[in-house]
Amino acid sequence: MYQEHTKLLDTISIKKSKSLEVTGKQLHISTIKRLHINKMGNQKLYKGSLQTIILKLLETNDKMYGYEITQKVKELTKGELKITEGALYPALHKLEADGLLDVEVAKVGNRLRKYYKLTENGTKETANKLEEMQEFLKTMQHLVNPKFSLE
Amino acid sequence: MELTTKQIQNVQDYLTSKNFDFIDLKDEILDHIISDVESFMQKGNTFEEAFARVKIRWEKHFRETSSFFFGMLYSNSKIVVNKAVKQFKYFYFLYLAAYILPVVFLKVIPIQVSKGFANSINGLLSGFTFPVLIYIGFIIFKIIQLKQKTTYSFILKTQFFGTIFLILGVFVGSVFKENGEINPVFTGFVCAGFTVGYICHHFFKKHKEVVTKYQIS
Repeated sequence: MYQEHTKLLDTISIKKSKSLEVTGKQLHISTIKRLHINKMGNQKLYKGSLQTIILKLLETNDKMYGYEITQKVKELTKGELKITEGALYPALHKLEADGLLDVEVAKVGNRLRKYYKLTENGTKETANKLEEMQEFLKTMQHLVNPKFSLE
Repeated sequence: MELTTKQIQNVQDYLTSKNFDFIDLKDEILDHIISDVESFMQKGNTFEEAFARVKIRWEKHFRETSSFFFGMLYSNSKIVVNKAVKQFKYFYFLYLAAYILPVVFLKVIPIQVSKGFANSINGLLSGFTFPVLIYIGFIIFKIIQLKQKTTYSFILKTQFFGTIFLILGVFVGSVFKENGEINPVFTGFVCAGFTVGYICHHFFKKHKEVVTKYQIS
């Protein structure tokens, strides 16, 4: 998706257009590029937390399939985070290989669907990962904004 | 909006055209693509339009790629290679360590044994190597014979060549030099060869587990 965005932005640059009309507003090309880079940066930050996100979703939703996970994340983050297939499946397979997820295949309509659910170890690991995440967020909060704290 | 059987067949044909027939991945990816197509159709696209858009998105995942961990000779869809790398990385380093550590150790601290002891160890090694080679041969035969492909069978195919280390270490060269000193290079070969045997055993077991799991379901 981002490669497509970059290609689009590059095409605009080649045409030497200095601004672009987006939903009725004239945006300078540098603004669009900055927005794109910011979003790319956010995606990189989220990438390190992908396993925790998946585990948390499965803790809340009992069992989920790949496409459902991508849509749920998109919905919960109001489109801010889009998990690509290229990132989702390696993460799911890694969690499965580590024994944190169990797999259940069921026939849905006229096709097979692979559901993931937490194993006993997976439930324990989810609690650990969420605790780590809370600690990380607290530390980051202290670092970037020492005047305010979550507590 | 659910796809019809004919439309699902179109999606399946697309996966087949990409040689994507790994049973541990196929159903899941097929379901994801179908869900994607259905979502586009709900927004008012025809099946053809929706499928064309989804294919653009998925094309990069089916692109033929290879990995440093398996070598340039072994390529497959990016999605398969990525999964295989994640499963194999640890074993790659184990394999390297099995070769490098004995070589370095024996170069730093040369060990010499009596001729009688060297002969006994050589005999033991030969006796132990035969069953290992037969077992690896059995795995190669099974993998070629079985029609079901899994990510693990892909990994296995990349490892069979490593058996050559065991043959070189035990039957071509010798772990012991004429004077009874342990040969670092051939000892490294033997250790790497046995590690390949262990890797093949591990991934063959995983392959069988996946085949059984998907046959039951």
